[in-house]
Amino acid sequence: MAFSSYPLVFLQASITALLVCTAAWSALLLARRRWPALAQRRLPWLLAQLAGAVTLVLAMLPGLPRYSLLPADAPATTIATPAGAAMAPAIGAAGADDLDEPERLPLIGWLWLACYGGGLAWHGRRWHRAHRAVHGLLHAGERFDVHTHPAFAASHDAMPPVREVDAPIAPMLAGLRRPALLLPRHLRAFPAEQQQLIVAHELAHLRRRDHLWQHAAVLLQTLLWFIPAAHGLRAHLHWALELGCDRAVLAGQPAATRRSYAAALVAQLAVQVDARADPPLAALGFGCSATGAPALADRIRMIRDAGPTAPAPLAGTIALLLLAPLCGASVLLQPALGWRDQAGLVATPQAAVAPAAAWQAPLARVQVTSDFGATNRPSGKPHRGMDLRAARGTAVIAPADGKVAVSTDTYAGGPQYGKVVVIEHADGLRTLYAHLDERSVRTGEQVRANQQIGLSGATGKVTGPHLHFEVQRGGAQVDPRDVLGKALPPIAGTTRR
Amino acid sequence: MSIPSVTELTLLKCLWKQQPLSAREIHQQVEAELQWSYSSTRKTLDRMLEKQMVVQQVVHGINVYAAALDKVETLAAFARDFGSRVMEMDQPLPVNMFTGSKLVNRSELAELEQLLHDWPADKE
Repeated sequence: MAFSSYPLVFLQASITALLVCTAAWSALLLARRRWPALAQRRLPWLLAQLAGAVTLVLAMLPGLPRYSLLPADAPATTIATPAGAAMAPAIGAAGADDLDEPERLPLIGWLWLACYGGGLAWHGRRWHRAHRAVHGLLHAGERFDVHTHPAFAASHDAMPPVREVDAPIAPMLAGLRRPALLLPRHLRAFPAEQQQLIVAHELAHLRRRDHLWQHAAVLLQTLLWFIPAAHGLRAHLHWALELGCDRAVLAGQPAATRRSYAAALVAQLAVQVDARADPPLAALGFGCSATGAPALADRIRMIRDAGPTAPAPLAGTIALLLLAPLCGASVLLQPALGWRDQAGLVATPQAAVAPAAAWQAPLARVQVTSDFGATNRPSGKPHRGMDLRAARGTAVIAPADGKVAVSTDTYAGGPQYGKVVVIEHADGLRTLYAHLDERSVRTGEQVRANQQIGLSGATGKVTGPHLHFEVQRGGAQVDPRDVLGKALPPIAGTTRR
Repeated sequence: MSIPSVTELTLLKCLWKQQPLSAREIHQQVEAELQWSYSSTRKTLDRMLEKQMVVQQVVHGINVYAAALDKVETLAAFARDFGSRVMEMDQPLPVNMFTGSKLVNRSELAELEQLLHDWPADKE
């Protein structure tokens, strides 16, 4: 049995995050269509990414299923009863199971975990390489006296470290802790007004602390690398930072200055086009994202038209209206799948302590058909529990006081266990009853010793009706004979009255 | 001309300020920046000697090094190499770039220039 079901919980959380992030992304795109100025706001895009990350964490929290609005049995799958079961004698039925055959779902969980780890490492490495490249570029730059540079004639702000580099790059603000302004040497050839506008744009980034937003977005993008929408959101945030700075610089400026600003942008792009080393690359337009040129054209139109901006409260309201319900829905509509119960819930100490010595057998008449550790089964793997002979409809009783931890049709992520009840007893002991015909207790219910918890049956992967009984302590399998003691007949397989 | 790595450039920058210098003197100047051991500086110098980035002479019985590459040319080539690589990268860069991280091709640039050309007269 797969008790280490964290990978499955993670898989479920990943799918939830994917859905939430994609929903937020689509909603924001729709909102932007209605309010185009939303493209200049950075908050909604970052919050949407954050919603994805929060969902990923929230969906993995233990105890979350109890907030779910969906019933625990929601994803119940049709239980196929093998033909052999139907022909098994109704009385004294002694079916068997072989639950240790490789289960596909846990395998998918582990595969996904490995995939996620690999993707994270790959994206982390890319990020590291980009950092090194920028670090190298800063390294090649040289400090110069800003007072002699025409671009700084008009600025009186506190200056970050400024470096000039003889490379066909765009002017940029680089770094997280101590951002530095990196200017290309060709900037000196631009008209003085354009130089000053470009520097004002970069200093606006610094004032608005855009470098922190930028780094936060990339961190979230790396964590959510498997969500395409997270990459789109990051790109939109990046663009919103540029548009926001355009706005900040051009606020209240005359039309001539706006044109000059747009001209500086186009001139800078022209330098970069000329510098593209490989002509075929430029001709094919690699590295140019599908939205590259249209987005730039939109930006120039925004510079030209000075349209009304989306007021900050509107952007904030849209962001919150969209994202809070999404995060909430991700919790409330989380399907409470069977495997969660084992992964999340930690055994809580029970008030009523039943000494293990006084436990009773789960059936009134006990005959062991397959003992704990038995290997004479199709898979050849040691039996993780104990099979007890039981006709369909035989009452199954709780061997001791406890609390129902699981009552589900899809235990361990699939139908192979059939209808299952798991009871949590004192001292960290858990008992499991599988292949039940009927469950008569619900998750969270307190049960007393000798109370009926269900009827034995042949649900799940079985060859006939029987009760599969397991005992665990601290997540490890325990021989049921150790706790039931004298309640069980000796190994020979005799019947107890 | 071979383009130096970031660490090689650090050593070269040190030599461009003052040369010739012994390996120990170079190490003392770059130690704080590179945060590595003397043997790493020696190893890098050996490699740079092989790549003909530095030349070695013996003065008063000790080996001293001088830069073999021209400062302006090397810095320009280094920056150009990194600049083109940075701009071609399709991964998110830890920078706020004036033009954004999107590149355009010539025909797209022509369209943008047309937009600039058609700037409404009344806005002038």
